[in-house]
Amino acid sequence: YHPSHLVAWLQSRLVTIEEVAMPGLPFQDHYCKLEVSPDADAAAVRRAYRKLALVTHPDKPTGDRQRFEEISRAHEVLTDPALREVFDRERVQRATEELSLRARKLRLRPSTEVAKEL
Amino acid sequence: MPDGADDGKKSYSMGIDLGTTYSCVGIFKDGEVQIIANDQGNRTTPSYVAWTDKERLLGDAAKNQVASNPTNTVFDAKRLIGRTFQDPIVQADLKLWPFRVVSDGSPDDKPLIEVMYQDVAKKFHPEEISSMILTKMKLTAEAFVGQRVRNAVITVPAYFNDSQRQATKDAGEIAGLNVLRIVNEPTAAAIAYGLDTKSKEKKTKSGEKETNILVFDMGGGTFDVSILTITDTVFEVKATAGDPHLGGEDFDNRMLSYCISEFRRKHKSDPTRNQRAIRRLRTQCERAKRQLSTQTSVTIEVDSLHEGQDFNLRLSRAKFEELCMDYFKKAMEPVSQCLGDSGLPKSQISDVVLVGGSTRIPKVQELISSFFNGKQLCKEINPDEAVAYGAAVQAAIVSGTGTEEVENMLLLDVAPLSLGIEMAGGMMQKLIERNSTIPTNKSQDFTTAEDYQDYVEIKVYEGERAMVKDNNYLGKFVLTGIPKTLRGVPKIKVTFNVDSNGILEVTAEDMKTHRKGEIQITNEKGRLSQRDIERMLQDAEAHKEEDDLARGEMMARESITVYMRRTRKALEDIDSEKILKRDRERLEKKMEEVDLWLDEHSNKATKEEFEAKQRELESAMNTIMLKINRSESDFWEQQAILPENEKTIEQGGYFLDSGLDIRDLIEDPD
Repeated sequence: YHPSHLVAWLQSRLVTIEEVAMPGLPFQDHYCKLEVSPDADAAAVRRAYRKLALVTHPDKPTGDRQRFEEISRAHEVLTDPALREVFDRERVQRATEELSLRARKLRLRPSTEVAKEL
Repeated sequence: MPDGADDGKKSYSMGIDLGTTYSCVGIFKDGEVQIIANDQGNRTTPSYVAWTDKERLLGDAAKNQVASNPTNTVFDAKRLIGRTFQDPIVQADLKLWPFRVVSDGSPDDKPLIEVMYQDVAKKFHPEEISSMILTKMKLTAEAFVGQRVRNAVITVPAYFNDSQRQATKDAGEIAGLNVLRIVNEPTAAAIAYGLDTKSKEKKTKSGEKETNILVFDMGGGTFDVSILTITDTVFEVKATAGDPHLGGEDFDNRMLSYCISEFRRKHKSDPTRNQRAIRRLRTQCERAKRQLSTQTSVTIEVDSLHEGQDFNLRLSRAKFEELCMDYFKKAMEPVSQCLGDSGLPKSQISDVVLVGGSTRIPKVQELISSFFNGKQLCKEINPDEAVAYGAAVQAAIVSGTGTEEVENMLLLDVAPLSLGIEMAGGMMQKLIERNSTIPTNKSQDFTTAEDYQDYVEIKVYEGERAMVKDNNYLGKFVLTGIPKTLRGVPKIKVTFNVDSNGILEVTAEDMKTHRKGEIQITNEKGRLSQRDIERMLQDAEAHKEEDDLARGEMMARESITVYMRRTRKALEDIDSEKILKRDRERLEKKMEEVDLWLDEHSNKATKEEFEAKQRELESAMNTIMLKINRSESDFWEQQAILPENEKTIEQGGYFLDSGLDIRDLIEDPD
């Protein structure tokens, strides 16, 4: 048996494939969302969150539910030291990955083209 | 619907604290919150509904007649709402309720309350009972502002689950309300606290100071603990915990069973089956419990409780505490859990705010205080009214009808329970963690587990346990029409959306076909369908006409009894020399006659009949009053309004020109 068969057999109905933080949205930079610098301390994050929540909460006339959810997610991550560390690492990784992807793209060629050459 | 705003009149929004045993309503008016007294002058209204042979009674009127009509007096709807009939809590409560609760027999297993009304058995959903109480609160508010009030914020215990919240919202809709928001009770209480302290600290401008408070809310039936951070105008709930079935009623029940066992021991007879006796005893227990908060011992006395035997028991505060100690201790668990969830040490809690009637119990206060190492507790806010107060403020915030100060406020509340779906092997896959700030939404992708599987079943649960069987089942979805392919290929996005009311909505989408329409809600446990709600709304409207009629009669009856009482008093007060014996006797006879008529007809008579009787009485009384106050000048005027039985001799009556009764002169020549 291939291991994947075994996994499928164990999970009779549904299997998770991946967690998507925000539907259809790319990676979120929580620092940008909260309009704070990456070295902001917890108090500064909370202050920024409150300031933005007062504007974006759906109860307010200026409310925008999606933005509010983004900033509350950002607040949740950035005020939790463990989550923030993971996020910081991911953020750095993303930045380098993006660069390397861009670099790799230059070397990619359509298979038809390759076939023609052959 | 005229919303008031159209014709230039200000429209109001109310805040309703819908309690297990008592409810309270507040309204934001003229820059401040007014807690509104009901027609009996009480600022809280019992959450009771009763059916007599003739009418439906709400609030005080219903509670006052409970001993004589126990099986048709319904209370505790909040302990039934959003639960199933088979729920162990419902099954346990059943044994204590004098009214009948049955299952609706459907797969949803909803509980129904059965009462006898005009010799017909009628069944009501708990939502309908709650809607009647909400209607009563609405009428109270309307009487106060003198216009229709439709918009309302209704509070629920923070620890209420999704079904209970949804059911409470449905109750509001059945009552014809526009439910602006479902707000958590401790959060509402925190607003009351925040505004109270803020008004005191106005001079010392605190700026960006963060204050952490713990709200301990123990009412008649439910118990909540919430920790909030208050910064200027932002109230942020950090964590919440509680027990949706713990409160004053449980203490009453403990005292009640103790009293029953004492009665059994003393008199060797069992009053358990005697509903009336149990009800009378329970009322005395409740009273004794209240007294024990200020006194160290009380006597519970009920004359002729059962089989002619009196009940008499001296109960000390220590004994009461011993009876309920396990409950008190149980209440401390959510406190430590909440503290742990909030991530704050005890020392960071600057105030412990007590809300709800049961926090008056000295032992409860003592336990909390010692939990916080002897901390002074905050008892500044009114424990019975704080929730309605906060709800009224939130109503003003949401509807934008408050002052500038209020409109700058913001409430950030949380979801009390984790939400997730069932995964292979019965595991709970959490999508939303408890204490997440709401509104929130989370998506996760899932796929099929078998080749050529063309549908998935998504079962939704709430709770903290790892296995779904230990958590509360909310409902299921079936997403069909997935293109048949190998397992693991389809991508199904499940989205959980929790709104500001803490109510969950789940959608699933096949990312390839973008099929959403195929989702069917095959079972939403405990929920009423839209059709049910509409039917109930119509029932309630029909009831309203009946109620209006009954209210008219009730008022007419009230009016005549008051008039009788006043007349009696007047007769006593009037100088006996000023009133002729004949007149007095005639009036007394008339009153006796009306008394008899009332005894016989008070349950059947219409409003018009009551009014006619009152007019008869008034005319008899007026005659006397006229004679007493008469002067020469207005004599003729008075003659004109003399009724038929006061005719002069010329007119075929007994009266001389001077107004004297000829019979008095003959029989009683003084």
